[in-house]
Amino acid sequence: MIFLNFLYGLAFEGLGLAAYLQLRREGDFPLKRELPWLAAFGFVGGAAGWVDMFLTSGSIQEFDQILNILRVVLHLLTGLLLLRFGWGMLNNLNPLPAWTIFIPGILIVPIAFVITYASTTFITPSPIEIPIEIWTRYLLYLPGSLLAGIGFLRQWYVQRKIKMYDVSKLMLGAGLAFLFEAVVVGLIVPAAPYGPASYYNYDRVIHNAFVGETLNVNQPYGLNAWLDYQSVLNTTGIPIEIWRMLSAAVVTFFVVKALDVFEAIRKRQVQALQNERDRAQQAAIETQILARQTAENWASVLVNTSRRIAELNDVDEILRQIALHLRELLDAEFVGLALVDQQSRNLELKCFSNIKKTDLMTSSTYVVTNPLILNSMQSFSSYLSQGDESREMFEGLCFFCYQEANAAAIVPLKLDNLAIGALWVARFESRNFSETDLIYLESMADQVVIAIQHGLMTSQLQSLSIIEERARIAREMHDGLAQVLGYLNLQVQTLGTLLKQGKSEQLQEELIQMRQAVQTANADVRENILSLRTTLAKEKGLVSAVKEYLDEFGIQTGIEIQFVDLTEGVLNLPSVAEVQLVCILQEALANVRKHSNATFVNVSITKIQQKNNSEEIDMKVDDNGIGFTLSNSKRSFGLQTMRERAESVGGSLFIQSDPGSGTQIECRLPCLKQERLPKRSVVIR
Amino acid sequence: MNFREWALPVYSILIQLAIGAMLVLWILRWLASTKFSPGEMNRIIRNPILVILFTAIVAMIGAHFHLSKPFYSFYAVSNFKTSWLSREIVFTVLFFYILLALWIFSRSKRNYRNLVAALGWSAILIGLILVYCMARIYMLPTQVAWNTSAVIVSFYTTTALLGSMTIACLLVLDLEFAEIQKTKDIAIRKRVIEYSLNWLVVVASLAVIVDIAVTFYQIHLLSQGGVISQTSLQLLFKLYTPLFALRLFFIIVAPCWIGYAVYRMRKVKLSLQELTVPVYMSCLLILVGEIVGRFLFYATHIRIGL
Repeated sequence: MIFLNFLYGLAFEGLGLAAYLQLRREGDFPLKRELPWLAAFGFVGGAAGWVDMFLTSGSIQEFDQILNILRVVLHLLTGLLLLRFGWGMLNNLNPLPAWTIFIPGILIVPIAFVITYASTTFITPSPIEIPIEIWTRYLLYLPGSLLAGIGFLRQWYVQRKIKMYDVSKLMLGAGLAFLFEAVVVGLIVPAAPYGPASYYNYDRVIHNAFVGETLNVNQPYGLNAWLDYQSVLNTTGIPIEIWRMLSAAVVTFFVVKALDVFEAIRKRQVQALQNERDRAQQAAIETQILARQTAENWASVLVNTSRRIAELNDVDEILRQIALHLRELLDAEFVGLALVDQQSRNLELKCFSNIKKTDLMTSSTYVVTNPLILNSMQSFSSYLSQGDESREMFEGLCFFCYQEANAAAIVPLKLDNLAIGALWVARFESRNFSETDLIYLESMADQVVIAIQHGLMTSQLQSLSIIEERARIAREMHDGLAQVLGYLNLQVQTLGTLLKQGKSEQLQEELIQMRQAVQTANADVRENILSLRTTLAKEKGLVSAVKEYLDEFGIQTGIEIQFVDLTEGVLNLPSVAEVQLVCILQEALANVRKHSNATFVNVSITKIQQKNNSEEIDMKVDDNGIGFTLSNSKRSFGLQTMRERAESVGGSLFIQSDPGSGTQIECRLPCLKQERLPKRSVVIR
Repeated sequence: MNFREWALPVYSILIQLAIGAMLVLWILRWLASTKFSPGEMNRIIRNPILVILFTAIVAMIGAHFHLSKPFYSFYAVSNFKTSWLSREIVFTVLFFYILLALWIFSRSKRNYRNLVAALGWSAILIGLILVYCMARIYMLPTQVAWNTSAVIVSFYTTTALLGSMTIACLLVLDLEFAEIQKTKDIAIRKRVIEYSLNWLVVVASLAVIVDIAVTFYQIHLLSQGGVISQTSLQLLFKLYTPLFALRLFFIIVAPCWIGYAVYRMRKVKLSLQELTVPVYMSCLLILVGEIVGRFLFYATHIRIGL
C-alpha cells in the first residue's frame, strides 16, 4: 500500500514535471496556456499521494493530525486545480458555441442544490474526512476529469480535422484516460450513509441522520450497486489505489507524448515555413531574372531596330523583323501591321507574322476590316482585350491562320496626328495581354512609324541624289560633250572652207584634231554611261560592283587594271560610305583617263585594324602616269570633291603625286563598329 | 432528508425564484421604459422570460416527486375552497399558463405590447398570491415552528432575493451571448444592465436585511415558545449550527460582493468578463444560502399530533 501510494504520487509528480518542462520551451501550441494548471495539478496531486503514503505507513504518528489536515487540503487543492485545468481544456483552447454561455446559468441551480446537499451530509456520524473526500471527488475530481476528458476529446476532433493524425490519437488517448480517471477517482468513493454514495456502495440503507430514521431500500436507483472500494477489489482483484495509480500513469503517458508530438509538430511547422520561405525567395529571384531577361530582350530588339533605321536599312526588312520579334517576345500567335493605302483609303495588311512564317504583303491586297482595329485608329487609342469580348469582335484579326483570336492588343500608328495604320498582336487562347505588353507594343509601333518616316526620307534623299547626279551629268555634258560638238560644228565648217581652198595638208591636220576631240568626247560619254550603270545592289555587294566597274573601265580605256581585294568581300561600311567610296573611285579613274596618260592602274581595297579596335577600309588607286604637282593642278576641283566625299562619311583622302612618278590616291573610310553590325537580335530565354 | 423530501425544497425554491425573477424583471421593465424604448426592453427581456418559464416547468415537475402517486396529482385541486395546497397547485398552474402566453406573445412579430404588459402584471399578481398560498400551507397548529407570520415574510424575502440575483445573472449572461453574436443592440443592453444592477443590488440588500431580521425574529419566537419550539431551537443551534452559519455567511457576502462589483463598474468601467464572475458567484451564494435556509426550515420543524 505504501509502495502504491508512492507510485501514485510519483506518477502525478511526473505529469507535473513534464508539463512544467514543456512550459519552458519556446513556441506556441495548443495546451500551452493550460499547462500551468496541469503542472500544478500534477505536483499537488503527487504531494497528496505521498502524504497518503506517510499516513498509511504510520511512521510519523506524532504528525498524524497535521498530515490529515494537509491531506484534506491537498486533495481539495488537487480537485480545484483539476477542475480549473478541465475547464480550460474545454473552453479556452477552442471557443465553445455561443449558446454554451447559458450552461453555467442553467447549472447554477442544480449546483446550488448539490452544494447544499453536500453541506448537509457533513452533519453525520461519519468522520469529517469521509464527507470531505466524498464531496471532493464528486464535486471537484469528477467534473474536473470529465471536463478534461471532454476537452481532450474536442482536441482529438480538432486535430483530426486539420489532419494531424498522430497528435489526434494521443488526444483521444488522453481524453479516454481522463474519463477513466473520472470513474476511478471521481465516482468510486468511500462508503457513506448518504446518497449518492449510499445508493450503490453502502449497505443499501438510507439513513436520515437528522431525524434518526433508517430506511431499507430494496431497489437500486439505476447505478451499479456495490461500487465501493471493496466491490472493486472483489470484482477486479486489484485495489482501487492501483487503478488510480494506473489512471494517473496513463494520463501522464498520453499527455507527455502529446506534448512531445506538439514539439515535433512545431519543429516540422517551422521547417515547413522555412522551406516555404526559401521557395518564395527562389521564386522571387527567378521572377526577377525573368523580368530582367524580358527587359533585356526588349531593349535589345528596340536598339537593333533603331540602329537599322538609323543605317537606312530596307524598311520592309525592318518591318518584317519587328513583326517577328513581337511575336516571339509577346508569345503571340499572330502579329499584323496594316497601313492605310493613300489611293483607296483602305487599311491594308502590310506585314504579318504567324507560327509558320513572317512575310510582307507585296503581291496581294488584304483589307483589314476588324472593328477593334478601326476603332483604335479612329480613337487614336490603344486597345487591350479583357476577356469579356464576344468572339465576333476578334474576327478578321488573324490572317492565314486556322483559328480565330481570343485575346488581342492593338496600337494605332500615328504620324503627324494622323492614323496611318495599326499594329496588333493576337493569341488563340484566352490569355490576355498585360499592360506591360501593351507598353512594349506601343514602343514598337513608334519604331514602325520612325522606320516608315526614314524610308520616306530615304526615298526623298535618293530622289535628290538622282537629281544631283543628273545635274552633274548635264553639267559634264555641257562642259564636255556639248563643247566638243560645238567645236566639231565649227571644224566642219572650217573643213569645208579648206576643201574649197584645196589646202589638203591643213585639212588633214584639222581632221586629226577633230578625231581626237571625238575620241575624248566618246570616252567621256562612255564613262558617264558606265558610272550610271554601276549599282550597289545588295546581292552583289560593293566589291563585286567595283570589280565590274574596273573591268569595264579597262575595256573602255585600254588601261591595264589590277584589282586587289584583301577584305574577303566583307567591308562592313555604311551604305552611304559605300556610295561615296564608289564615287571617289570613279572620280580617281576619270582623272587617270583624262590627265595621267597612265597605262597601268592598281586598285586595292584592304581592311586596317586601328589601335582602338576600330577598323577602316583603305582604298588605293595607283597609276604609272605622269603625275602632277598638287598645288597648281587642274584637277584640284575634282580632288576637292573627292576629299569632301570622304570626309562626309567620316573618312580621309590622301593624295601623293610627283611629276614623272605617277599618282597615288588613298581613301580611308571607317567601318561600322562591331555592335552596330547588322545581325539577328538574340532573344534570351 | 431522503430523495422525496428534497422535492419540496426544490419546488418551493424554484417556483419562488421564478416568481421573484418575474416580479423584478417586470418592475425593471417598467422603470427602464422611461429611459429606453419599450421595443428595446421587450427584446432584452425575451430570453429571461424563457428562463423563468423553464424554471417554473422544472419546479412543477419536481413537485410531483414529493407525491407518492404523481399521476393522481390533479386530484389535489378538488379542494380549492378549503385547502391551501389545492390553491397552491391551481395558482402554480395558472402562473405557468400566463407565463407561457407571455412568452408566446412577446416573441410574436405583431405588436402585442399592451397585452404583454397586462400578462406580465397578471403573472406577478398570481405569483405573489401563490407565494402566500405556499406560506399558508405550512402555518398549521401542528407545525409549531412554522405557525408564525414570519414564514410569510420569509417566503416573500426569499422570492425578492432570489429574483433579483437571478435577473442580474440572466442579464449579464444574455449580454455576453449578445456580444458573441454581435447583435446590434449591445450598447443598449450594456446601459440597461448598468441601470438595472444598481436597483438589483438595492433590492437584494434590502431583502437580505429583512431576511436576517425575520430569521432572528423566528429564533426569538422559538425561544419564547414551548418545548417543541425549544427542541427546534436546539436542533438549529447544536446540530445545524455550521449550516446556519454558512447560510448567514453566504447571504451577507453575496450582496456585498455584487455591490462592490457594481461600485467598481460605475467608477472604473469594468469589462464584461470582470462583471460576470461577481454576478454569477453572488447568485450562486445566494441560492446556496436560501436552499440551506429552506433545508433548515424543514429540518428544524417538529411535528406534533396529526
